[in-house]
Amino acid sequence: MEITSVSYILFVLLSVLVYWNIPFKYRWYILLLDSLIFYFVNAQAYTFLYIIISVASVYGATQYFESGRKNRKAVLILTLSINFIILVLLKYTNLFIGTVNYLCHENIETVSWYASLAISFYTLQIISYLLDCYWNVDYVEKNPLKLLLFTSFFPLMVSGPISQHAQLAPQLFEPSEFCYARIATGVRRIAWGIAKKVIVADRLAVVVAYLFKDPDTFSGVWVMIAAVLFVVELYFDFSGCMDIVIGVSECFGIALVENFKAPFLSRTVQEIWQRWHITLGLWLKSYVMYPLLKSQVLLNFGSACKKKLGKKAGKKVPVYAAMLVVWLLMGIWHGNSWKYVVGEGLWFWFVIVMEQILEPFSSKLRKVLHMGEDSKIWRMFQCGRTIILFSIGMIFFNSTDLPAAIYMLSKMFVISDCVTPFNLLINNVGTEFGGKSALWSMGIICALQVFVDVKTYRNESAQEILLHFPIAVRWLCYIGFVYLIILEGVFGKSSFIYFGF
Amino acid sequence: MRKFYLKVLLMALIVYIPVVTLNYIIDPAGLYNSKIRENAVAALNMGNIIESPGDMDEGEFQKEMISSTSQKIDTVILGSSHVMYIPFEDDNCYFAGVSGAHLGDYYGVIGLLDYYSIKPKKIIIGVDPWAFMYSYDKSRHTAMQNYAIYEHNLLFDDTKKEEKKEKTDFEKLEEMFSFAYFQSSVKNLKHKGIVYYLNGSAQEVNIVNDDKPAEKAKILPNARRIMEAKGYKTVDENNLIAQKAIDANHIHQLGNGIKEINKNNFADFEKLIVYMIDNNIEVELYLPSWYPKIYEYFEDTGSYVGVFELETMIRELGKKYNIKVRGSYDPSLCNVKEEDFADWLHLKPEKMLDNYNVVLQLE
Repeated sequence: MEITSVSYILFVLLSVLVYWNIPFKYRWYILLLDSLIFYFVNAQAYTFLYIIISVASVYGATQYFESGRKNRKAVLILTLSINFIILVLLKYTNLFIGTVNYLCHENIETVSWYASLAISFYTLQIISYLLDCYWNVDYVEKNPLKLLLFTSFFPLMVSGPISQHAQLAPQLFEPSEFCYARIATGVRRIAWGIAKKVIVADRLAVVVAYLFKDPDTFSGVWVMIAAVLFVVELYFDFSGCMDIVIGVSECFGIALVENFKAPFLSRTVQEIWQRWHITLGLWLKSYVMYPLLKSQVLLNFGSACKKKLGKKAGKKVPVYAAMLVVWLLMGIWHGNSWKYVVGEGLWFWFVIVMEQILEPFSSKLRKVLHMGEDSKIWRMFQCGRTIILFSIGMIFFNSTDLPAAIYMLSKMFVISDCVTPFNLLINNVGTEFGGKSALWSMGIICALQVFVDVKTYRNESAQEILLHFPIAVRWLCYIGFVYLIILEGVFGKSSFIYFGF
Repeated sequence: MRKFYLKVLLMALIVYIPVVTLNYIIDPAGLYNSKIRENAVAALNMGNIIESPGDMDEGEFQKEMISSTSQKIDTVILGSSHVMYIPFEDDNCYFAGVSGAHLGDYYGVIGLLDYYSIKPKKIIIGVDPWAFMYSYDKSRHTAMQNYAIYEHNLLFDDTKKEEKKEKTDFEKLEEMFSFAYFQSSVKNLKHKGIVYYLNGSAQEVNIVNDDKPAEKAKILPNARRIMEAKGYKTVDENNLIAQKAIDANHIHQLGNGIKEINKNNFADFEKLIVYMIDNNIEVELYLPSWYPKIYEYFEDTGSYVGVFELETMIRELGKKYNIKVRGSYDPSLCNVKEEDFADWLHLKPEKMLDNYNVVLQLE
């Protein structure tokens, strides 16, 4: 059940109608039932067992914490191990086998285990709950079915956002009033997300796939064009998915955390990662980076660095070391290939560290050029530089494997003809892309997204503006927008890039 | 709450009334209005020659023809448009070719023949390289896809695949609400205009008296096609179009390259051949020649080596099962010239027959 499909919309509509028409104490049962239906329609039924094991182990551990008995740490480590072993076995066995085969010239067969739906997302979510309970910053859920709902809440079972129990559970289980305005907001958000996916992302995907397929022809500046277009595709795909997910939750009166906040207006790569897949970054910061920085190992390492390198550098080095661990995990989380470890992990760690080290030089350069911190040209330069550096990392994401990504990057430094590849592109993907009307509709959505992003960057709501229009104009906009989606969207061709992570 | 219900209902009506109405009336794949197809098939079964209706789904047409035929069928020829026009003398030859046929369409036609217990003495398959770019369950003409799966089940005893052969009523109903189907409906409507659909032109079948090329393409009672007169181009025109395709590095159906033949798909093809031989059906394979300029391009660039690989594989298959292999992708081997082509892809029908009659003795 694709979340851009009519069947999903009907499923949500029916659920919303039932949800708001029954007494509040039963409402979460409806959500649980919906979540189970969504799961079994979209995944291999037996893989639900992995979710049950995760929930059971975490439930047992948190009850143990609650009982105040000793050996809390041992129980925590045991529960973390159970959850991570499931994740690692299901997602990374083939990476391990592939690496052994490559290094030892073996021919061990890869496995074809199915992971449960959204395993990379819900595992982090339930582990955050486990750790919060361990640190006594969240309350312990008494009802295991409620914990199951928190873990498998169906809008989140696509691609997150990774939610915290303390933020989500009260909304799932406490009474709330039907609010038409919230549902309308949710519906608008769903429509917006669908438009981003079917009008922009799916059409760009055709161009991006073509450019990535043949780096020999599309070399030089085309490599960068391909990389930037992929980032735009990924943004419209993933943020479109988030819009739908957040919109659907809103229809149930549940506000989820935002996962994107105008990333392309970021001035540094560090900032872009605070605005792109926000919940993953926050999770890694809260549950890996901070505990690491407070760990005895890094504290001792920090002291040693201060003695040897001086106060300033000694302070920075342990932070960079913790960041290295975080970024390696970020890479590993993304998938069972070394391309993610290098592209999504090491590359971004390197760039962020370099950004911090070179910051004084960057400030000096700005002063030499007589530009203020808020100078538009300087700002545009920073945004452009950030997008390019970010896109280079994403070449790894979209390449078939690590050697393919490195080969493509090497092709960036080739001087190439611009016209012939352009003609090739137009001739070969023009029809599949959809012609002028597709280009126009894509332009409209992209322009609207720029507007939404600017508003979001300023912490303003783009939807509010729509509400100021007279009702007739507003409805004309709605109908026009819906028909734009219907006539120009690409339906039933691809799922979301992060679906199945 | 009432406001919410009302607005949901209003939006649903605004969206779905035009979608359902247009999908039903325009019906680009002929799911709901099979009248044009039924009329065409009825006219053909009565021995008439008809003008080819533009809106007809070729897969549905083959289904209707094969399921309703009462004529004696000794030979069935299947494949792409490269075989749809060959002027065979044999009266009991049935043309089951569909445009751009994939492996799934070969399977689909054989599945249809099996399902309706039609057992010809001979089956000729016009084999195109693009056919192996898709697996057996990805028929280009989706109307035949379920018959392809049916046939595959029959051959491989694969119980995993469902054995349904028709789109269920529920699937048809689903399609009525489909936005993708709506997009096709709008495209057809733009192309033909509302009057075409409202005055009943979409349902009419024109019976004609002769099989000479005319303004519109024609279909003979044995489903052989007659090219429309404007389908015949000059050598200069053909060279120009071929050059454009070469410049774009995009050759019809093959895209920007076919570097190898998918072994699984070829194995499925072989299985189909063995099945026919085991059922005492004589099999012949025909390799339609490519336009000389295009074939030269295949030889010059390394991107289309799959075409050469396939010819070798087909000839080896011929040797292995003692099957006659006719024609050759290489036009020079069949003495085919540019002027023998109607357009840059298709030989003129009589030249198709000459091409088919070439049996090379290659070592």
